[in-house]
Amino acid sequence: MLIGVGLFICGVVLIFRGIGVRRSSQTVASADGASWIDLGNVSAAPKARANVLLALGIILLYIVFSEYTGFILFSFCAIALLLYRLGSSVLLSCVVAAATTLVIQLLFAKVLLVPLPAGLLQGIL
Amino acid sequence: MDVIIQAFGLVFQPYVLGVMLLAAIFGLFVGSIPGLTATMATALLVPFTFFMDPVPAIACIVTTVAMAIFAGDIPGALLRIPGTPASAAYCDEAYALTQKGKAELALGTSLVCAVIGGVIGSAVLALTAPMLAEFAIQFSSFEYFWLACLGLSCAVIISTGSTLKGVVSLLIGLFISTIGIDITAGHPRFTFGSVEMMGGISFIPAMIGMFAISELIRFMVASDQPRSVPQQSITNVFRGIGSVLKQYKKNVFRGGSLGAIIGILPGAGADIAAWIAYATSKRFSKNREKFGTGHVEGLVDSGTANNAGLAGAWVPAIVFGIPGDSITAIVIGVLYMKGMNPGPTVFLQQPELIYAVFIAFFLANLALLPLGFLAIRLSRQILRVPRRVLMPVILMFCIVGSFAINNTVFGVSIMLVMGVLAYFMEENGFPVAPTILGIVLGTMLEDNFMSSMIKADGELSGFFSRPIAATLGVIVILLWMVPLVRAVISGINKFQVRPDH
Repeated sequence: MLIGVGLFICGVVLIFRGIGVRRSSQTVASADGASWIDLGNVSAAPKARANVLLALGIILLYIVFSEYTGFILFSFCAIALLLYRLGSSVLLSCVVAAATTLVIQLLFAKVLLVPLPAGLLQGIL
Repeated sequence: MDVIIQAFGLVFQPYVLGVMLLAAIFGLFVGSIPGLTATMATALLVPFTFFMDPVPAIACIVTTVAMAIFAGDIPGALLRIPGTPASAAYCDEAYALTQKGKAELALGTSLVCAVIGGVIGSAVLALTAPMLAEFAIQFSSFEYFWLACLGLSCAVIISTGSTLKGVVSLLIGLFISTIGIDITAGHPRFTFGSVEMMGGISFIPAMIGMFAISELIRFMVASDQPRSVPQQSITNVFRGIGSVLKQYKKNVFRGGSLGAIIGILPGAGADIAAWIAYATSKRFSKNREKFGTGHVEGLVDSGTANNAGLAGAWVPAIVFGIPGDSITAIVIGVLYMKGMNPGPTVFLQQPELIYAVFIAFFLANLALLPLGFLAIRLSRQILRVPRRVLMPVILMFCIVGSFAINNTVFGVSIMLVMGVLAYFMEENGFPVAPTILGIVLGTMLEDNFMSSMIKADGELSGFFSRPIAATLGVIVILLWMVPLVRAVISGINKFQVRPDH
């Protein structure tokens, strides 16, 4: 019975949510006359779109590869790349990336004792 | 009295004070960079507070937010870009003052009013919270169920944009909170056989995604225009403040009390307090026509109100465990994760903890005076830091922060998904605050509903059998009726208009 009640609540929540989404998407569609969802400015500038995809890609790559590459290598490359893409000079990108990586490594791994993945640098450190 | 001395002991420790100082610098910095909001500052802090004791953790968040809300005025006055949404209400007014060559006056007024507002808010918090807690101690799961409903409903109604979109946003939050193992029955829901989903959606990565990653995407999409800070001396910010305060002392108190009261309302935070205070100030002013042309009066009202609202939002949060805005929602989430259930029982069992929070509030707001002054002096340097350098750094902190909670990359996945979701929600006019409230309160709502159902033996009438529960229930149902009634009335109006055409 309890499971029933629990699932019932979820069901009601979902039904309401479905109705809500449908009604609101109708009002959006009638107002804008076009798409179901507004993608914001993403579709406007191709360069901005590439940057967004890069940032999201970095998160995705972290999920997949951080275990293998290790935090330090990954973080340095990711930050440097992103900084460079956003218009900083090569030197500035590398300096900021190195400093950030160092600070995060010290703060999280040494002070807060978070086991950041060591990866390829396992033996060296 | 013993309790208060104990509370002082808890706060006045080198560790806590050090944390507060760092938090203050962080808050001032984040607040004065346009595009980085106070909520984002809190979201970035949470992974750190996760590793602290309750008192330093709360003190850290309180200080950061108080500083960030004031610091939001700095770019508002100098660049006409509000640093945080709470400064948006009077941004034009402050900029108009700067254009007249009175940047010092604008910033000085903002700072002093922020401090006074913060102290008024803290006083309201310290006075009302214990009284309400005495009352709240008699509450059972029925009352809490209705209170949670009330909090969520208010969040939807007060949120910006259409109420319907607020409801959708709230239901997304409630849906997310149902993911994982059902608390009462132990039945896995929406887990798709994944072991990691069974534990539920961790709150901290979700929140980092919603408040930090979505901001990041928004920044990437928009271009970063170089900003020029007006060349005006802003050294002597306190000159002429005395006469302003004397002239508008009524406004200071009105702004402060209005802000605190709006803050107490669940769902309304500092930004709404600032808007309402500005409108009120304009409505009752003798010099209404001067508003918008660089008149300090509105600045006094709303500058006081937003900092007062900040403290006010903590009243429902610590008394009932019902957050008043998205920042307190984050705090409640953090406290739950620490195994501390905010609510009236804390007042009985650990009163020193509550008093320590009050002291932290007063301390943070008083520290705002010297530190805010410093921030104003350094504002030109702070505003010169380009955001394109900060954003990649913030991105990496977000990733590590969500990783650190459970030491799994699953947290990072949650952050990614929630960040993209929040970005699309905001671009389509869906407010994000109800979602975060839904995630935090969803579990509590369901928990109280289930235990009430068990107590009442499955009888729904049990929710109206106690006087306080019944009153709250009626209020909630009336609140639900408001948008419906409004829709019906507008429908009737349309119907009446149509035959004429």
